[in-house]
Amino acid sequence: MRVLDDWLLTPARAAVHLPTATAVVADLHLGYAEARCRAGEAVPTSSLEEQLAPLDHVFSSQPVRRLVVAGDLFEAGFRAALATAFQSWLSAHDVELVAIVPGNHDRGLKIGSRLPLVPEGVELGEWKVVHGEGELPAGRFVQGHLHPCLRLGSGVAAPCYLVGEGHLILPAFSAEAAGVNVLGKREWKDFRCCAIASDRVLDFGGVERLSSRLRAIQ
Amino acid sequence: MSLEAAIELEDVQPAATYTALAALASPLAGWFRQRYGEPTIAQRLAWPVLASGKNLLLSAPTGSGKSLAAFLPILGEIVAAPFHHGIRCLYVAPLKALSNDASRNLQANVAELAAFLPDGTPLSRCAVRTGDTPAEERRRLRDDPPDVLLTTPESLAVLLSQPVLMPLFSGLRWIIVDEIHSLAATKRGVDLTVSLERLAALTHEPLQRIGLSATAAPLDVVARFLVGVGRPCAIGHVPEEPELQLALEPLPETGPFLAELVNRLLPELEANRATLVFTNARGLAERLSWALRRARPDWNHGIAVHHSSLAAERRREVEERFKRGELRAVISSTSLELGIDVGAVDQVVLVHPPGDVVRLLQRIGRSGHGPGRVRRGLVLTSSAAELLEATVTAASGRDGQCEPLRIPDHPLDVLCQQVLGMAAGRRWLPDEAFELVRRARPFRDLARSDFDDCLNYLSGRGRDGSAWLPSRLRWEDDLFTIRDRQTARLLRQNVGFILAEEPAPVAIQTAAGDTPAEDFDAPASQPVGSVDQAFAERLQPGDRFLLDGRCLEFRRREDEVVMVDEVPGRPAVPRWGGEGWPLSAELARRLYRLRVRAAEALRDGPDSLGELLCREYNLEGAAVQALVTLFERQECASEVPDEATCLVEAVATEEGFDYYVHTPLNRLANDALTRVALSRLSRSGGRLGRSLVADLGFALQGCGGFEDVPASLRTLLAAEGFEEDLGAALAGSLAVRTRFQRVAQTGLMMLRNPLGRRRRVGGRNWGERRLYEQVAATDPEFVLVRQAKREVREEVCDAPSALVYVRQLPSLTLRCRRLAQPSPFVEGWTQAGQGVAEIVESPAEVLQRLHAQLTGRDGSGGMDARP
Repeated sequence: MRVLDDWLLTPARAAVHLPTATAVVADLHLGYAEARCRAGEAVPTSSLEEQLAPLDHVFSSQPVRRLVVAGDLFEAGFRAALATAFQSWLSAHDVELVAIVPGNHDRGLKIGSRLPLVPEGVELGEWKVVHGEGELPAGRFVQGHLHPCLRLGSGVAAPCYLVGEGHLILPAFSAEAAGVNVLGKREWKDFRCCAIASDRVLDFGGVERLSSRLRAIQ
Repeated sequence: MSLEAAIELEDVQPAATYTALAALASPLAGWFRQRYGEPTIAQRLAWPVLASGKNLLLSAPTGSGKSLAAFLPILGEIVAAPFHHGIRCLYVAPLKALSNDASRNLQANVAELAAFLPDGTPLSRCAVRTGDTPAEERRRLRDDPPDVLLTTPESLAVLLSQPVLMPLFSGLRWIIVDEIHSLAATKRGVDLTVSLERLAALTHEPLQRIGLSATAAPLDVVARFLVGVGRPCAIGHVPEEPELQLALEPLPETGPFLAELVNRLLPELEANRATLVFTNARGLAERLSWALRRARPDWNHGIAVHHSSLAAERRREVEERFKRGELRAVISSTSLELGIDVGAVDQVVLVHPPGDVVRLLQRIGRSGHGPGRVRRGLVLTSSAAELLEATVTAASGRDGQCEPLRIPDHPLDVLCQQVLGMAAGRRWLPDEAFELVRRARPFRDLARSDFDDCLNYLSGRGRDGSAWLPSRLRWEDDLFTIRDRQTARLLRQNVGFILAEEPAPVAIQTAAGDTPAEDFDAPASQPVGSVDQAFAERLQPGDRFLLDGRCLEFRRREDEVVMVDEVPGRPAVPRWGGEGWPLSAELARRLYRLRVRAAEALRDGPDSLGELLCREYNLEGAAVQALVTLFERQECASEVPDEATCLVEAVATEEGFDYYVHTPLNRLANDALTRVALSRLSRSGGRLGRSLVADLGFALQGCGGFEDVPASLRTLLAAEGFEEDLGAALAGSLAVRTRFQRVAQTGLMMLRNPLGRRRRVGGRNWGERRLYEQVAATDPEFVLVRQAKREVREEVCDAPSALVYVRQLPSLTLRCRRLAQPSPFVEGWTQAGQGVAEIVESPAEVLQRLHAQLTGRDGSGGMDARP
């Protein structure tokens, strides 16, 4: 789905900035299950390939070879082995890692490491990509951090993009993220909710009246 | 001969007073005579048996002196052989408050006993160890152990996970399990049975086990639960006294429910010195006590509320004040059902029927303490359907027809936790651990393969032996033990949480209204109260229930929170104002039969039915009239189905047809029928609507019309392939996933108290949402997945009962009646709204359907765009 002139919203939880042919993802939270294991839980972990599989689909279906990470690459701080594996994966897919905007989960990710860090946010054409934790920029911008989702109960929940006036909020890329329900969320009332349903992105319209519209048909 | 057959269960009779007292050590007998005079029947039953060293299950009404029946012979032996370093007697109760109560009584008795003992005799010491015990007292337990330790199953599991405490139990001689009936039906109780076997393996002398129960049926099942496999047990039973004054009254349906309730209760509270009111729900308890105090400001300090959401200290304070006679009334949700001594209660009032007979008798049994007592209960109902339910519950209570205890059969999540606890104590051969566990009654039939699956999981291995999870165990040759100190610490931090269920908080998401900005004018959510997890788990969007005196319509779960809207009016049946427990299977059958009998009587005229209700069900005036009217309306609009008939009522709607199917089953079994019917309807390409699951029936709503309704229903409910179709419908269902998360916590796959900070990104439902998917994809037969599926099959939908019914169906007459509107019986069903749509649509399909409806398109194209 194309929105705000420049952006293609993919069902892989990655938005593509069309003028620069750059994919933007946020909140990958790599190493989530490992962090739970370190906290004492006995849960299975998945490989990096499995975690990045949706991105693989984006790069194989779109003429895109550039990637920006809008924060929270890691779940529990910088982990060298994961970072190396991530870079190897990108190389293998012939993808240039343009920038990483560090997020609040990326403790220990320091300038001077081999990763292209841009703490102040990175510009893509007229847009600025930030993580979204601190002060937000003036002008048009894209952010992560908030993990919006459309939750309808009975186990039905879908990550979603929030499309506002010059403002795009990305869903969390990580499938582990629970997400924050957009329904009834006052601060998002001026956004449109574009939810991911399997291999589609569906525009559910404005958040402000979405609850009552859904209630009317349910 | 099997161990089972070799168990000796012996019914014992009360001894003569002289013989009973002679069984006690003489100082204790002297003290008892002076303090109490004559021993009660329970005491005359217990003392000779205990003196002979036998295990004993003592079933006797509340207030019949059970505590002293158990403790006095033990105190006598402790006094006779003092100076033992270690715990001699362990008392386990299902509630912390009960342990505290027992401790206070015991200490008071011991203090009084002092005067009867030879000078210099050390007094027995007792101590309580629960989750509330301060660290200092916990340390003292190790350094200076008491003779009698009073605890709960969870705290006992924590104690047993610490090797340093093991020596304290080597001289243990007696275990008392109080309120054993309330434990036996739960996983907590199952956990306790394994703990008891572990204790038995630690002690030098055989343990004498004593179970105390107010109402336990069947007694032999409870006795076996207490003593484990292959041990004898004496059973002493003091029947409930016949005097049970139980009145049922429908509240007028003219005014607001709470106002009518207050109007009815005020004179009741005025007439009695101490009244205990049960409301089923915490929110209603709060609201009612507030309304009563507002109506009678002079009683402001004489009315208190008591429920499990209150702080423990506050609950204890209320119990103490009630016991001292300082309170005119206590309004409780369910928390005072169990035997915490609250002193002399004149009258118990139940607001809404309690769902099963055991609860009814437990509650009414709180009144009229002491010999020669009269148990006085009043059940207030808020609709004719609820009154009918109360009628059959009360009749069953008068006849003593309690639901049989259902002991969970070898729950594997509990087993995992216990095996890890055992591993924390020492090294084990698998054979040896397996044998110990199988001595606990609920695990007597545990398959070796299930046990090995648990060991494999705890060792981080898949069933094929490959490593796929972090290991909790370390293997040394053929012996297993806990992996390391960190794992031991994790175990201690989490073992106590085994099965304590937290209630689900309920919050209103928005105010009801039509203004465009309605979603944002109200706070995002406003807490109302909480409901039981079991109830929350069963809610479907659109379900209506009462809480805090308000009618709430369920929308969705957000993490643990039950998000609702407040809607005007009342739910179709305010019984959901209770916490929505389904009727027990037995009560559902009796209720169905009562309807058949009532319909037969009505054929001879309303007076005949009235006479039946008066004569056999002790109903009077308004109650009789309400039920006669209900049956007349039903017969006029449709019919009352008999036991040879399955009645289907078809109501044409704008969307198609609503089919209401009447069965003699409770909600759980109807849930299973509905899931299978919907799943088959979906598979055959039939038009799907919503479903509705109730006690005594279910509905398929918004269906395309069936040409031949009976034939279609026979196909949808055919016995052939029923279990397979139910299994398929449940696989991956929200019910299974939700249950899996709990099972994974009990089985310590997920931890409530992990090391370091909690990982918030996954949310509180990460287990049901992500972990389940990953685990089930790797191994659909993983031990904890299997356990979750089994629990849902048996506990969320009563598949065995449903299967019996569909097998009977071919011999029943299936009759369809077309009605203009739902019949009065259907009005009595509970919740309107969607049923189990989850089984026929994937989440993506739900989203696509809703999107198509919102945009007026068919969802096949339009606004969406593929990348």
